[in-house]
Order: sequence, then C-alpha cells, then structure tokens
Amino acid sequence: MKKKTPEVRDIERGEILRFLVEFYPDAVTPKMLLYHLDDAALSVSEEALRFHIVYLTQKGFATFELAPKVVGEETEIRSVKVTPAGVDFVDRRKKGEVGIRL
Amino acid sequence: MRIQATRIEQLDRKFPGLRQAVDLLLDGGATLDGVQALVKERTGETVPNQTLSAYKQKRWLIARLRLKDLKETFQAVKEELGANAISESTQARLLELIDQAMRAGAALDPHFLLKEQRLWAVHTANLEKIETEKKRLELQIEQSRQALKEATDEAKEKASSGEQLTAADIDRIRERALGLPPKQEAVPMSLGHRNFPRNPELKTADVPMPNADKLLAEMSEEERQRRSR
Repeated sequence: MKKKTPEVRDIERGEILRFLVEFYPDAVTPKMLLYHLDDAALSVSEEALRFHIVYLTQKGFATFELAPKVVGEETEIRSVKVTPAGVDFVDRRKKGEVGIRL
Repeated sequence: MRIQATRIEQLDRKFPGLRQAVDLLLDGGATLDGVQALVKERTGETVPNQTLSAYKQKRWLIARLRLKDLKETFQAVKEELGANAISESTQARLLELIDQAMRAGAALDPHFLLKEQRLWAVHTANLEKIETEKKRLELQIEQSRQALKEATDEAKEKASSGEQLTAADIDRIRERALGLPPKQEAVPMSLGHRNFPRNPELKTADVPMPNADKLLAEMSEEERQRRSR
C-alpha cells in the first residue's frame, strides 16, 4: 500500500476537525469520523484515526472520552469533540485573536 | 449504480486537499467565481462555472443537507430525552445510530426512534431492578447460611459437651436459620382442627359437639347400647 505523505495526513486531520466543528459542542464517535472520511475520499484505518485523534488532542484542538479499561485490550475511544481552540483553527483565527469582537 | 466523479473530485486525486478547500470556501458562502479562482490557483486549470455548479449541487449541497438533517433529528431526540439525562458518550452513540439509520436509507421517523429509545430506557430500568432484587436475595441467602452455621455450631457444641438436644433446640435452629415456626406434634383427628395447637389438658369428651343431642335421638336403641358398651 502506498504510504501517505505528511500533506495527506494533514488534510485528513483537517477534515476530522471540520467534521467535529459541525457538531460542536456535541461529541461524535470514531465510527462516524471513519464514515465521514470515507465520504470525503480520505479513507483511513482505525489505527490511523486513533493516531489523528490523539494528535489533535495533544495539540489542544480536540478532547476524547475513553471506554472503561479492559485488561489485555487497547482502550477504546468512545467519543471525540472539538475544543474552542479547534473551532478557532477551522475559522482561521490568527494567534492571539480571541474569537470575540466588540 | 456507478457514481461518476465530478471534475473537482478528479482534480482532488492529483492535488490532494483541493476538494476540502473548495468545501471550506462553499461553507463560508463563497461564489462560484471565488471557487474558480481557488481551483485555478491550486491546479492551473480554469474549471467552468457550470462544472463547479454541478459539484456544488451533487456533492457539497447533498452533504450539507444530510448533515443538517442529522443534526436536527439528533437535537429533537436529545430534547425529548432530556440532554442532562444521558452522558456525553451515550449521546455520541445515539448520534451514530441516527447517522447509520440515515445512511441505510431508513425513512427516519423521529416518533418511531423516540419510542424505541423509551423502550430501551424501560428495559434498562427493569434490568436494574432485577439486578437489585438478585443482590437482595443473595444477601438473604448468605444471612440464612450464616444463621444456620451459628445454630448448628451451637447445637454441635451442646451435643459434644454431653447435653441432650431437646425439641426446643431443634425448634430454635429451625426458627433462626430457616425462619420456620416451631415443629408441632401431630394433632389427633378426634380433636379437630379447632383445638390446634394441642392442649394437653383437653380430653375427647370435652370437645364441644353442638349436634350431639340430635344425633343421639336419631340413633337406634341397639346402636346406643352398642356404643355405651
């Protein structure tokens, strides 16, 4: 299988963030993200999606909730939602802009 | 049915991210001229407005309407259930179920969905009740087992110390361990159920017989003599 370029991975993360913003402040399940990426011709594996979710979380753009730990199994991500910082990113606010105007 | 790729989708394969950029522009309310300028900048190709319009109608708008429908249905269900009543991850799961049903082409009737959701809540509540009852019964069994152990230990101690186990001891064990009433001696038929429990002072002759005189009068002389013997 052809290895994805960093650019494609960036685009995938962008699409994930865009989809999460649609449902802000609600959360969505990873399965919904997989379906959406399929629709957008950006299919990813479950592992790749998990990688992207953790990446976006560590960047402060998303948060996720884990299912209770089962011994011997990898912890499952139950739901993901975008943070206000993620919304700002999709809205292309520059650093320092608070997202409020008076 | 084979879906023919639009020009934007074809270009997106060569120039990854083009479709996303076009979608973002359209999300922001950009005109087709604006989209055309973006495509030209990214690919060097001038895509006619008619082609761009076809993409907008067949792909972008369909996706927007589907999302809008999904969000509205989800909000309706959430309001009905009371948003605070369910956790965030359960809400996400509910959203996923609605999405799947819509993708499967189900003519989604919110009332049907709400009914299903209510039934699910009732089943969950029943399950909880059963679990609680099961725990209560387990506790009761454990308490009985403990009481039986204590009572039999006590009886064993008494027996090993040389004392005789009495009927009262047995009754005590039955009562403490199993919650049963004291064991009664069999009641003679002649005393009838009305004299239960048995009174040791009572004799057969003392048992009231309201029809005795009438019965005696009806009895033949021979029978009376036979009985008196």
